[in-house]
Amino acid sequence: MKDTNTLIKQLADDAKPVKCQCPWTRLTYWLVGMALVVTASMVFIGIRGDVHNKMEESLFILELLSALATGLLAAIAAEWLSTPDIRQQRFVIWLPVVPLSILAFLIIYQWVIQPIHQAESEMYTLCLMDLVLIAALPAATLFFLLKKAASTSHRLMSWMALLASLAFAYFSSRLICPNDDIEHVILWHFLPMLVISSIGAAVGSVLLKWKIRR
Amino acid sequence: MRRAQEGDKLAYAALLKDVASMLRRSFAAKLSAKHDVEDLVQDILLSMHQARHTYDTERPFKPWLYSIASHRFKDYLRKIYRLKDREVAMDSDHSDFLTFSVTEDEGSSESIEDILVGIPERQRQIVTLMKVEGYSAKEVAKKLGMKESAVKVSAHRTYRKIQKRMEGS
Repeated sequence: MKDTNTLIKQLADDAKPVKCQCPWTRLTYWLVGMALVVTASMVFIGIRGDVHNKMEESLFILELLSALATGLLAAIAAEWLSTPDIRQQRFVIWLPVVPLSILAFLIIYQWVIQPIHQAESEMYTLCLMDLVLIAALPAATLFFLLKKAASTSHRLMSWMALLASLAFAYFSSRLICPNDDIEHVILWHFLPMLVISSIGAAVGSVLLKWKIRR
Repeated sequence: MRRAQEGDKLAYAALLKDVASMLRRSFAAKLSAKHDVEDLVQDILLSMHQARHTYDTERPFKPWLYSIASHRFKDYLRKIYRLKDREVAMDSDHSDFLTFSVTEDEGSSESIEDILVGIPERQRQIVTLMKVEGYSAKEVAKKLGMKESAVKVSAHRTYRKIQKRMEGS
């Protein structure tokens, strides 16, 4: 270990002009990219046939809006978490909890009120695959962007980043998959979103760890 | 910090000096060893340098700095506890050696010097200081100008060598 004064001199000599990266700009780029991925997924895989009828159901619209809000607010939280002091606005990290809770409530409500139908087995893996494939590229991009920052909460940040990508993927997959059986929605859309983001957070936290470069 | 972000080297050096002395004062109360405080201060300065692009000049500087400092302090504590755990594991590894009598058994060597024949000078010095003269690893590290962890690792390797040799004979 060198002398602290020598280190200060070295660091000062290395002080090239840097621009403070505005999280809103980064976020806007990412959201535009996410919107393109969601649109592309619906174009290539195809929107469900009964989408017009479904758009008249308030529960379905509320579910989609909650998923969108979860994705948006989780992405904002991930961006805020990428700075050491969370831009001194700690409340931001709690924002995605609100729409996520609404989404969970809506799903539980539908599970309580709707009769249970038998879900088609071949849809199972397809829905999970759609969810993962739609979320993969945006999640990787968000990780790449966040890696450039300096977070002091890696685990929470990677969970938020994955939740953001998977919530948008959930939105997209609900417009693709024609199966409205609530057990199917819970098991192959909603739970994978929560489970994958939680497990991935542990892996992500290792990737996003901010190491000291000597 | 705004001037530092613009590339003003003098302003940045002055800021780093202020930050270093502020951190030194703050950590001196928490850490007993002076070199530990310096290590930590240097880690924080390096982190601050790496993260300077994340500082928003429209917001106060100190909360940003303290977040980095607190993060690095936690990292430091984690490192210390990991090291302590390793020490405990090593100590239990050494227990056989520590209780082994060098004089009771007729067939074995008569003194620690005999046991240490063929062991490199540095390792021999460490073991002698620790087990004959009764110095702690920390004191030996200070005496020999080494890191405490390096002394422990070196001692551990020597114990292993001696143990193998004794098992062989």
